[in-house]
Amino acid sequence: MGAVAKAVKKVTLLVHGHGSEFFPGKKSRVEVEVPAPACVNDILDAIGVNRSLVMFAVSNGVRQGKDYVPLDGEELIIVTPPSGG
Amino acid sequence: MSKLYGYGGTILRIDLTTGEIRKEPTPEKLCREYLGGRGFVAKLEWDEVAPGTDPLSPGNKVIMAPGPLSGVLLPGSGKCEFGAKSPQTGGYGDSNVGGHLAPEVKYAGYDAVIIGGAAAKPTVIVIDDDKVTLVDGSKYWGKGCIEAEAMIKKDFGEDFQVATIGPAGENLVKYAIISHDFGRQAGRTGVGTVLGSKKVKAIAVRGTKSIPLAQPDKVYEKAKQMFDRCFSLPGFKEWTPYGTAGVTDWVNEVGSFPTKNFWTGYFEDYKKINGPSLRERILVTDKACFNCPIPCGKYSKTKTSKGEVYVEGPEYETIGMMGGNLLLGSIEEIAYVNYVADELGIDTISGGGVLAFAMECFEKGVITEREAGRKLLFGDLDSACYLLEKIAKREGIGDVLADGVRAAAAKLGKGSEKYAIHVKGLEISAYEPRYAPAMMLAYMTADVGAHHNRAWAITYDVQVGRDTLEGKAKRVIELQHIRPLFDTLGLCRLQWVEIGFELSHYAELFPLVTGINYMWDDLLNISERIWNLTRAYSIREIEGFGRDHDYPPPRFYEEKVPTGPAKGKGLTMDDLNRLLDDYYALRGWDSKGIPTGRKLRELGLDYVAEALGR
Repeated sequence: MGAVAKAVKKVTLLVHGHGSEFFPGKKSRVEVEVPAPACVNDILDAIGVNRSLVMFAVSNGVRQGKDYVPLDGEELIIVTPPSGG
Repeated sequence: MSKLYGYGGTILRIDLTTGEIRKEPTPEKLCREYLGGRGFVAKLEWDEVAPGTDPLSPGNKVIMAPGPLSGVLLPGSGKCEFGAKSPQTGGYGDSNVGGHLAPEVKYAGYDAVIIGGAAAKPTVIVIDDDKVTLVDGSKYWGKGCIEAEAMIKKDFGEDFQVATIGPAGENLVKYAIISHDFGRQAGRTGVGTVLGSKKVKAIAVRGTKSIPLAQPDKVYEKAKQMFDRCFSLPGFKEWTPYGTAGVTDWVNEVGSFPTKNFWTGYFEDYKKINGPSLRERILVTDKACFNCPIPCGKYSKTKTSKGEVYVEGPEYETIGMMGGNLLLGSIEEIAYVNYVADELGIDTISGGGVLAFAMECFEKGVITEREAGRKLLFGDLDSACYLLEKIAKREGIGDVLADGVRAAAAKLGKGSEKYAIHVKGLEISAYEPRYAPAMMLAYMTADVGAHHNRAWAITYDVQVGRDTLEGKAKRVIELQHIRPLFDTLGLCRLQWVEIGFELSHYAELFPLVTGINYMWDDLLNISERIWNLTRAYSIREIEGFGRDHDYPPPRFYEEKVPTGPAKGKGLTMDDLNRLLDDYYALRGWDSKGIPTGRKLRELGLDYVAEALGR
């Protein structure tokens, strides 16, 4: 019996704020493939972005914590900190 | 001379001593070399305020300057720069205000208004297109900033844009603001104090002209594209509801929230004073500046034991400096203190720093109950409001505190300099930097004194590592050129810093508006020129100015952060020296923090090199 392929999911990150400059390619839209299941923190680890650089995520208009596990194919808004005042 | 596009075309000079009002064409060379806004302020302060001038004497000048992009119909084009030799630091001073003033000044035809001398009695400067008059302002003297603005609009016309000072400016409190648009402020470095020393209660402006554009059709097309881009950016909807207050949770979670006079970086009650609290408990409506697609202004109504008031805010800086830093754990109370400070005309950043200093001095026995006239307690709204009133009127302990924490500590003695949280005499704004080396360096080297808006570098610390010093100086310098460039162009930077709007848009836009074919790097080079000029200004004005003036207060290198996510973290004097060494080397400055003659000449500042003997 052959090895079972690991499930992979594709998530699109839409990065809000100028923290996007620390995301791959300094882009505000980043497509990521990660082993499933993976929460927002796992995804950030996978692309080399410090977890603390992200305040929260938004899925389908609902604010989510960084332990949120997005579905395969989901678009997630990633909110980085604004500089106050 | 070729036609100037993007500019009003005229510089207005007002001598309050003689009453003389003069206009002259805006020099093309000035536009090409210093662009406008902050660039004009820096160059004009250097040229026109004689070395050694007392900041509160008639020889100092207040310069009001929109930028070449101010008033053009593109996102965030409503920013106006005010500048003067700072009474707070004795060096270069400027501060930027949003609202609707800058466009009005441009539509009246002016690229800078230079206000010198001093009036014999309270005065309102009325600029109505080409007609400029000095009007008796006695009936407004003594009124609060917002009350006076409403009165002046009623008297002169609602279509005037008005900038005012409050009682704090009248009484020469060193951190007095210039207020505009019922709650926007040029808050820092005491520009309102200098206006007060000239007995100018207000400036009222109405303009009805248009701004010439080099390529109007393309500007329109590009501006429309910029608005569309702003609205389409990911998370655009996430920004507007909370404005700058939206960062409160994050700053606590990374242990950088100013708490109890920067004793620590974490406030346990932060969830009670954050963006959602503001929105759910006190917000009336969002409020935008001129042409802004992402209104960060929050117009609120708050009710406390001291009364019920309307106020614009509180913004994050006020939440930090008058919330956590004073241990006020209710958004309603912070909004109330915000209102009191706004009406009195006191900067909420410096004001928050001064109040926290006084409260710590009281706690440590440096200020007694008898000297203060009452107990000065952290977490107590009455103490905060009492102190603000005393400061604005320069009564009792308020007279000592009205000069800022550096001067107050020098007068009070008893070791109180340990509690004076400032750099160069300017109170530090609302990010505790002990576990954020780039942010620390940003405060240390900001040209006006410790101010976050020159280089907000804390996200860089978080991303590349908060325990390393490597690369921090380079990042701070990059930001010190980009961020103040917005103040030079007359634009708001929040579209860039808050929703990630790309800088390339501005590079494309500048030649379309002005006809000057500068690339983005050309604009950054000019920003570097201005940065070196403002440094040179402080070197010229402050005896012995240099490295010693760039160190933060002892609390930031002698004490570790005691609580919260940054517990146990801190920087040493060796760390600070490494940061400064890196910074000076990259800037082309010597080890004392003085620009070399070579660097100054490379930037086209030959006249500065000569003046400094470099």
